[in-house]
Amino acid sequence: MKTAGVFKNPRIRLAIAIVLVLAGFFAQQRVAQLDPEAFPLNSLRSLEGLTHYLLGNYQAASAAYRDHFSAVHKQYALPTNDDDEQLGLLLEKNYKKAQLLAKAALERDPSDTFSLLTVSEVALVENKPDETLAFTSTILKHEIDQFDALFLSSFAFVRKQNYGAAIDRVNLALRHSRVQSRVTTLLGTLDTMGALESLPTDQRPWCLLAQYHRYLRIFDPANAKTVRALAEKAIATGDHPADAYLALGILYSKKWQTDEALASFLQATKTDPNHAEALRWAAVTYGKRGDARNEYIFMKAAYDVSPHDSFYANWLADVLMHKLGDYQQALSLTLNSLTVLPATSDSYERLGEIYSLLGNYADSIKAYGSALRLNRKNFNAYLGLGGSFREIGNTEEAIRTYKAAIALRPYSWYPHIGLANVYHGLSRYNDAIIEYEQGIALGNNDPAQLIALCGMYGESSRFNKAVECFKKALQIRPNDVTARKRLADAEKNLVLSRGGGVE
Amino acid sequence: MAGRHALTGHLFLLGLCSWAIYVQTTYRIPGGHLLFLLPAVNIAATCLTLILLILRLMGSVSIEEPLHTLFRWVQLTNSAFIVAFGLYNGLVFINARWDMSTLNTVPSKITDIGGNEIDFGYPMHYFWADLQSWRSPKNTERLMLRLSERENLWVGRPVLLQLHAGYFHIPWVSAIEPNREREWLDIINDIPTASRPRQNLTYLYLEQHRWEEVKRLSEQQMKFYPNNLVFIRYVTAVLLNAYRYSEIVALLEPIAKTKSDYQVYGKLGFALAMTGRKAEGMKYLESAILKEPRNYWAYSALGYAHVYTGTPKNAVPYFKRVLEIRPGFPEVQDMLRKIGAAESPPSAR
Repeated sequence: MKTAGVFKNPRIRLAIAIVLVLAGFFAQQRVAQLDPEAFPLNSLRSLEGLTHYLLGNYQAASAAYRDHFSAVHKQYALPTNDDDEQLGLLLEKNYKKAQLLAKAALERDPSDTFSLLTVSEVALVENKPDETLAFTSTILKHEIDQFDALFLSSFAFVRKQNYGAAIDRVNLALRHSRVQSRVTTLLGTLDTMGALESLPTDQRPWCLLAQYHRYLRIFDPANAKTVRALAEKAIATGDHPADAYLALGILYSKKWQTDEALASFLQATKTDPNHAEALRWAAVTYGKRGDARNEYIFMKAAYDVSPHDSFYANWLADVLMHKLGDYQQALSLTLNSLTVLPATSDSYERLGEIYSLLGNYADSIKAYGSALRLNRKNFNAYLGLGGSFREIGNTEEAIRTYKAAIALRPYSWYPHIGLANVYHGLSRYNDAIIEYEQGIALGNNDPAQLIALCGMYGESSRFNKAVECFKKALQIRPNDVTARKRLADAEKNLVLSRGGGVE
Repeated sequence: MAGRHALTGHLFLLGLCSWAIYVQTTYRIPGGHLLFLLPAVNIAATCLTLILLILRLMGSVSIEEPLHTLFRWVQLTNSAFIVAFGLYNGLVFINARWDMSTLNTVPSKITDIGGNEIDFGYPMHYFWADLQSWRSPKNTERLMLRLSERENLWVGRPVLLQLHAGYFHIPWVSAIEPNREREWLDIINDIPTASRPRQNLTYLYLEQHRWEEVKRLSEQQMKFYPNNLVFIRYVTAVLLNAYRYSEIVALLEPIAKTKSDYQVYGKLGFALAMTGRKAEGMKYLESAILKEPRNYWAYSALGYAHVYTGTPKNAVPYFKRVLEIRPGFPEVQDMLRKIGAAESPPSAR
């Protein structure tokens, strides 16, 4: 009776209402942060999975979500698709059948990534981590940094209690802006985390746990706090401190706290001067701050400690070309990479660009040709090739190449501007105008291109339009002497064309 | 009735607070640490006003003595603070909005940087920087930073401040940005083969009409990358439009000795003619015509070179050729008319 009386008190009722509204608001905020594809909430099992996940019961969360995804998969999978069938069987825990199906697929195509992942997963379930590592290394040979393969090999290393190697694999996977290709990788992560968290406190690999939470942070930003706490614990206990500093730095970096991020990355490189990923992150952070010199120094250091990793070679080449413009050094690096690493369309495209920037157009055309032989859809190679043909005066080929690029990506402004430049050189002003106008309409906002278009109006004797255009350009670039001079020319010609005189 | 007035009063104070925060973050007054406390107190006052407003909306809740008296005092003090800040920010607002002074770009350096993120479900940031004072280099000035500015700044970074004198002579800052010029120069000094910072610096100097520096940097660029003519074509096109003929000659003459290029020949030829080396200039312009006989520009340049160097009669065939390629070109028709008038006997004028 006394309790009922308390609820009659309007102040208490108001207080309870406020508390409920606030609790609902914060619960909604928490769930809204989650990626609905990784942590769905549209069935009872998914609700159970989410609750377990939020409470930190990762193995129970994985089991509940496995059932949820299995039910969803049954509903939407294509019955004739081999990959779908393998995934469905894995989610149902019908590992034998999944293995049989994958092995049959591998007999037809031994490099089939999906089937290799399936047999890797089954080997892990059967507690054969060495087999998992063998299968995943086959994948990684032909598909560098394949995300699921790296995570599966990380789980295998956990089984072998080689936590350092497990951390390395997670670092390799997370250095790209991509995630898993199948949901079983996420479920496997939850399972592995659950297993690691059930270890006695003094045996827990804090740093590895921080790395797995780094992965979960992609789908749930609330993991950031956990990553920080685990990384700090790892540093305090001396558990792979360089990787822990790296994890901390990445957290700061995601929150735009670049000074703190940089301090963490530098601490990581101090702890382990051969930590390529920490060196790269330090370089990236310097780059974000606009410090191209230190960006180069650290990226070069990352490459030097890992010269056979195309990832670092590509990053360094990018810094050399686009930040420093040190084309001679970029050329040596790219030529060297082509001798020690598998040749790709992208590496030949880079070589083509470097030759072009060095003014060596014959070699540039050859390199772009190689890039296109390896990938007929390499859009940037078409753009570069068009530019090189223009420079050697082969305008017919330049036009054909730019048109091929337009066919490949009709909504990109780049080939239109390239084509406009060719027509400009050929004094085909009306054609140049069409291309400049299209390029600008498709998103090119470089004032130099607008001024070039204005010039074309003048060249084609459309002085009225030229005057308007140059005035617009001068609003964007008031100090541009070309626009000023050519505006004066266009105004003079406009007056003269109307029969007026100009002194 | 009294309750409604009180509610209106709180809403007014809340609006005044929000406006004051906007003024302080838009028209920033650099100063000592004490001055920087103003926005912080302002934000605190805003929060307090918001709480008071919520309490007012929950009008049925009665507050008993002695809390009631305390509550009244808090309300009064807060209102007094806000009105004082409102007046101060009114001054800051007028100082900036009525300011007709010329923008002054002042170099400085970041000596310290700070701030944090407050998470109310939605993250809110506040940042500040201590800058080496431009008024007395031994002191520092504290300035609030916007998130977009914070991302590009770090301790030790050279910066440029857009400083305004202010209508009431209270200096205020509209932007703070990295001193790219200083940084590009440092990179070039350390890594001479780095062409991007040199090109960027050249474009900056072109915009600022610093022609001597443009020439020096372009010469350096061509020394390291002699085969890439794209850059030098662009630079000399701007120089030509700015009538900087001696710089064009200095840049293109060495290139023309080894490279056969229409634009190099054309611009160099015209520039040579305009700097007193007419015969050599004409030769280069003729070479340009041989390379691209359907392009009217070199004929036009030859014609103008003759006009500007005192031999207008010799320009006639070139201007006529221009009109063959580009019929009805008004300025060339006009030029031919003028040359014709100059040749007519005095009686005909």
